[in-house]
Order: sequence, then C-alpha cells, then structure tokens
Amino acid sequence: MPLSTATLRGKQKTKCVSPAVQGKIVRAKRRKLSPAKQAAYIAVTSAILICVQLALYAVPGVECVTVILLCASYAFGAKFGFFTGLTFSLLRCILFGFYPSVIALYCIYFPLFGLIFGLAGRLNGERLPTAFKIGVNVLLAVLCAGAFCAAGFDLIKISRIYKETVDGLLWALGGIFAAMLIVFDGLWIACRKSSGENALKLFFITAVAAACTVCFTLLDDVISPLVIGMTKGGALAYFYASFTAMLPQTICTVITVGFTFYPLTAALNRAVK
Amino acid sequence: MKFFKGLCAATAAAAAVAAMLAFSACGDKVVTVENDDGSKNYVMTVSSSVIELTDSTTLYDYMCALREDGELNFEAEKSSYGYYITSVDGVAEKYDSENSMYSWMIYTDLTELDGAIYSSAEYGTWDYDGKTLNSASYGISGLPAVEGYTYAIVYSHTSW
Repeated sequence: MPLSTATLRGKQKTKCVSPAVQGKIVRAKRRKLSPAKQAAYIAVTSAILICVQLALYAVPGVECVTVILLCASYAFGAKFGFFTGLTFSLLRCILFGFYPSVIALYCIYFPLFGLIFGLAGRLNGERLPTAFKIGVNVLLAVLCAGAFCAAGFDLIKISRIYKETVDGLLWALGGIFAAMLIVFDGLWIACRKSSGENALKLFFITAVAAACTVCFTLLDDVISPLVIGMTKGGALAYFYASFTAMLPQTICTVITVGFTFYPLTAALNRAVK
Repeated sequence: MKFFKGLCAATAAAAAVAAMLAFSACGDKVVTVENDDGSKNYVMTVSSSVIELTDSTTLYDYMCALREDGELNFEAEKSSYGYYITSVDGVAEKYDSENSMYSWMIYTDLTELDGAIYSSAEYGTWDYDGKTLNSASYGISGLPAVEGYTYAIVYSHTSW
C-alpha cells in the first residue's frame, strides 16, 4: 500500500511501503532524534559494546563489537557512529588503562569505522550505486592481490619459525577475499533486478567490514611499534602475534555481519521509528 | 714386542685424549657466567649433539632438550607472543618497583639469516668470550636454534 493512501486513512502503515520509502522515513526520523535521545542511544550502545568485548575477551579471534557498531551506525547515522566509536574507545581505555598506542589506535579506528558505516546507512532502502560496486571490486582485488603477493614473493621477512604459518594465513586470507570478489561479481551480474539488491548490499557491507578488520590489525602493527619504539625485528614479532589473530577475526566479521546485518538493522530501524 | 708396547701406549693415549675431549664437550653444553645481579647467566652454543636440528627447531626446543639431559633447569610460560622464561635454576623474574624489574633476557650472535633479523644491538649487547651478543628480537619460541651460534640467557634489570 503506498504511503500516501495510508496517511489519508489517518494511520501510517509503513510495513506496506517500498524499501526506498521506508529508508527515507527512517532517515527523516533519525534527523528528528533529540540531542538527549541521541546521547542516551550513544551511551547505551557504548555500554553494550564494552560488555560484549569483555564477555568475549578470553576467546581469541572472536569478537562482536564490529557487527554491533556497524549495525547501530548504519541505523542511526554517521554522527551517531562517530561518537559511539569514540565513546566506546575512551570507555575501554578507562577500564583497561590509558596506553598511548591503544588510545591512538582505538580513537582513530572506531570513530572512523562508525563514520563509514553511518554514511553507508544512507543506502538504507536505496540501490547500491555503481561506483560503490566498482569500489568494492577494487578493494577486494587489492586485498586479495596484497595477500597473495606477500605470500608468493616472500615480502614479509619474519623468523623462519613463523614463516610457514604466516604464509598459510596469507594464502587463506587472499583466498577469502578472492571468493568474496567472485561471489560479489556473480551477484552483480545475476541480480540485475532490484530483487537481488539486498544480497548485493549485504555483500558490499560485509566486504567493507572485512577490509576494515584487516586495516585495524595493520594499523595496530604500525602504531604500536612506533609508539613503543620497537626494533624492526621486534615489530615483525609483534606483527606475527597480531597477524595470527587477524584471519579468525576476519572470518568472524564475515560470518557475524553476513548473518546478522539484516535482522539487527531491521530491529534498530524499528527502534528509530 | 717393543713395537707392540708402543702401539698399546699410543692407543691408550689416543683413547684418553678422546675421552677428555668428549667430557669437556659435554661440560660446554651450557656455560655459566657470574653476573652483578645475584644470579648466573647461561651461555649455549647450539650443537646437533644435543638435539637433531631442523629449520623449525626453536631455542625453546633446544633448551627443553638440555633440560631433559639435566644440563639446564628452567621454567617458561606461554603468552600470545610465545614462550618466555620465568625462572632459571630457581631464580625467577621479579618486580623491584612499579617501573622496573629483573627478568631473563636473550642475547645472541645470530643477527640475520635469509633476510630475517633475529637480534639487534639497538636494544643492548652482552659480551662473552670476545663475542658481542645482541638483544634478541624474538622470544625463545620464535628464535631458531642454528648450529654454531651462541645464545645467552642473561638476568637483567630493566626499567621503563
């Protein structure tokens, strides 16, 4: 039922409107959130994020902060995403200690992450622009080529004890990005109609989230050795320790975002309405 | 007869020298050196007589083999960066203030192998027997045990 007809009857039955109109309604409602409500939402989301991180702290490679912050930012917007990322980072520092490398890493990464997916929330109900599809292709191709080149051309000069593991992880990571690239392009070609648009958008979001997870580890591998003042060998040992966690974290991101993005954002969108 | 006696004497002398060499070689598996911090430092020159060395043999594997032979008594704990030494011969790492501690550090003359850097003088050196050993870039489970190279476990005071 079109929105205008529903409004004429004096009720807004938004369940029956098209996804594009639904997206416009959500964005309009989001704009109308009072500053007090926005602050409350940011506080609650940050508290949930820190609880989730503490709960899964002991499980290496498993984390749900990415998917929750992603979905919340997507539903509530860029400003919300940025400030939630920042609040969560500062809250984490209060609980775990203010270490310069952690402050720099978290206070750069998470607000940016929130901002990116908050801006991606503008796609809510819209078709994925062709430029974004090309962008995902380029991003996945670069990540895939980077992983394969690093493994194939022996670019990472690490201790020979770790060499086999690192090479194996690089091949696996490259394989994951290659598979995502093939599936994304397959969907793009196969789903020319709007029926496949949701699957394509889900792949877009998942691919960007996976790329962000990789960037987080790489950013950590640059910031921490620089702040601590490690030697080249020490920095490589640090890289190895964080790199072994990167693959399970990336897989975890792909699975959690892939399976929970639509249910979570739908639930959050209902909260906005 | 005289020739036979001479032959026996030469054989006995050769056997004695061989036994002495073998005995001294056994004793040289781990050399202890006194330090200023109320402990000893331990120096090992990696040899395939202790353990069969492969490309994946770590210093930790080598030290475990020495421990099995009764040559070295140490404890190690595993962290996300691999194993690190917590005590040697009952001497444990300890904090003496909030910003300083005594701990077991690894020094080695294995600096670079196949393009990978294993130690650097940037974080300190330790001299032994005319050699300068550099602070290791990896822990004991990240360092390969390479034939002929020297590794030292040094009880060091660190502050930050």
